Amino acid sequence: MKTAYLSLSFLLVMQLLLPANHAVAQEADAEAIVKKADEKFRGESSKGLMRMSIVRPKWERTIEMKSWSLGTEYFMLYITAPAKEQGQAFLKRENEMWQWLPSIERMVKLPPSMMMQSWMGSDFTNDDLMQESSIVRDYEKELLSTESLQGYECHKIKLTPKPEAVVVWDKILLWISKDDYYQLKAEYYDEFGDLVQTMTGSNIKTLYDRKLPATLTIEPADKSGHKTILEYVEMDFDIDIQPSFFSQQRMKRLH
Amino acid sequence: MKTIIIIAWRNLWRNKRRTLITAASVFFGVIFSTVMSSMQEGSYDSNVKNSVRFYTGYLQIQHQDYWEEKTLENHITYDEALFQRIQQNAMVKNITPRLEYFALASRGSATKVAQVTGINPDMEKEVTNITSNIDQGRYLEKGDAGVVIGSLLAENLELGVGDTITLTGQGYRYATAAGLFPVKGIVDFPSQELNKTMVYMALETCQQFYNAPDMLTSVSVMITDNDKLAEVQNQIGSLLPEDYTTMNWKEMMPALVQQIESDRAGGYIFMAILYMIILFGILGTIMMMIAERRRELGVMMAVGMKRLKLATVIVIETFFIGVLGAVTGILGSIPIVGYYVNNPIPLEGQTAEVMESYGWEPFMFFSSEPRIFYLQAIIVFILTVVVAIYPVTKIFTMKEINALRA
Repeated sequence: MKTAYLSLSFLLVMQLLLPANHAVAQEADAEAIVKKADEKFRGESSKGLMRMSIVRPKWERTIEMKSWSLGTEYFMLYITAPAKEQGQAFLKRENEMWQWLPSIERMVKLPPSMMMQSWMGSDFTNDDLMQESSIVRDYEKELLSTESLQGYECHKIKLTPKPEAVVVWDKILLWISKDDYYQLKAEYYDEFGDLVQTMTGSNIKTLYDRKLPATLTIEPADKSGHKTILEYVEMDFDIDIQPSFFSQQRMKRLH
Repeated sequence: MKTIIIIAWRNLWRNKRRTLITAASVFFGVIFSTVMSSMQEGSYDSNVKNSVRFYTGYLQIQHQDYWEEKTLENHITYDEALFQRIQQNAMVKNITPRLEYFALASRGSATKVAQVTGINPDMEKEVTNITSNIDQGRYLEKGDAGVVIGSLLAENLELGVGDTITLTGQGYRYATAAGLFPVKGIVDFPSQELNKTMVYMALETCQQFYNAPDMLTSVSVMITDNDKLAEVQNQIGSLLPEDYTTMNWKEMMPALVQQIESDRAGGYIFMAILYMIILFGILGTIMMMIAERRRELGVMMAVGMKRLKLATVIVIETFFIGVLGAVTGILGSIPIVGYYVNNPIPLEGQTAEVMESYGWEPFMFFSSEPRIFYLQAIIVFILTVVVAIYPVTKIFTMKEINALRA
């Protein structure tokens, strides 16, 4: 009698726990997928060559630049083209962002109030560049469904900000391919539930040791004919680079 | 008719005290509401003037998309011939072309967001009278390579006259704009917002800085009479190229318009209550008067005076009381209003801070607009007409026989 009672209660408990367990497992899954995609995309450190095209209804502008990164704390950009902008550099060091302007030989610190402003006129904000907020750290993840995108089977994942996180978006939908963890699409929503911008990853090619979507296109939802295309031309991952590289002195001497 | 008026006038002075007390209630009501409306209208005027002067102008000529999206992309072109045609309009006082866009102002590691405004120094000073706000240093000259900055911006960046300010930002089509400019002067506006952000630059220097040759973001137009706003707007609109537009200050500052309207409505309610009290005051007097003179009225009717004539006498009496109160009230308020128009009451403490944060001068201004005065006269007239209904109906329904026995 006692054993029967025990096994019954055990069953009951299991039944109560199982769905919860299932949800926890799913959350862990989503967490792991986003983390893996992010790590793959970023690498521990990197060095690369990028081309950014800003497309506007009446005109277009292309900027070429070199980039260096170490973790999420350090980041440096050096503009190589067009000629008028050449020599400008941006440095992110911990939570500060600096700009070096060779034409007037001045270093300018970008104030926090500028973080939501466009970077170099593109549809990226200074905040995107700073990566102050992280999709890995600041959001709760939830697996929604499986969808096919650009011929890849993708996990559709919903990100909602953690209560204590200071972030811009109220919701992000991410599409990450099941094999290879390509971030193929992201939709960013504001607090009113409106779509603000869409980012798509395409042009999957081998960069250094890994295959990645090498072209990121960002399109604001409310401005037709506006978009920014960021293309990774070359990329080296997990290079040997020290935090000391990311200094104001170095910024002035980049080439 | 003349006799009736004379009789009414004499009747009034048969009981001086009653007449004077009633007239006094009108007198104080008129003084009070004149001074109150004068104060209200005065502060609206000054708020509008301050805002129009520094922010928008009465009218602005812009590219049609500029208001929606304030970028250099939506610019208009500097066109001397067009400006001259606009200035030929007799109702246009003066105009000033501007190129406005934000940039980062910095010194060392301190950085602030600044509103860089390229101006024609000569035209701008006519419109904004900015030279009177120069606190230190000097104002800009035509083609000046230096800048004039707001007092709080100077303070925040620890800049003084003669120091160099670093300005960076994005110019036309996102070309990087970067420059070093000597600070020639520091301006101190009533508006803290302007003090925090303003950087004035000569137009040519600004166009060069933003890589925007010959471009303007707006032309501000000051007009001689705010009441002609719509008319001038139409006339200027007809001169402009197709993708240009005009906006008036009411369109550009709807919040200010709403604020004035709701405040004015509040004033009207207050005034309505005040006059309601006066109305019942007069009505009370008239009722007492009719009751006291019941026998007299009965006698008049009995000896053959027509009811209509008798009613006219009473109506004119009522009217005289109103006129007496209104005229003395208006005359009495003129010196008060006149004094405060020229000597606005300075405000202190928190009220002053709030006003300054709106960009308004911290004074209680008064207006001497004629409308304020004759509005009181009209209201008092309507009051007396309303009050007169009582004696008129009383006279027409009165039975002589009863009245004689009273």
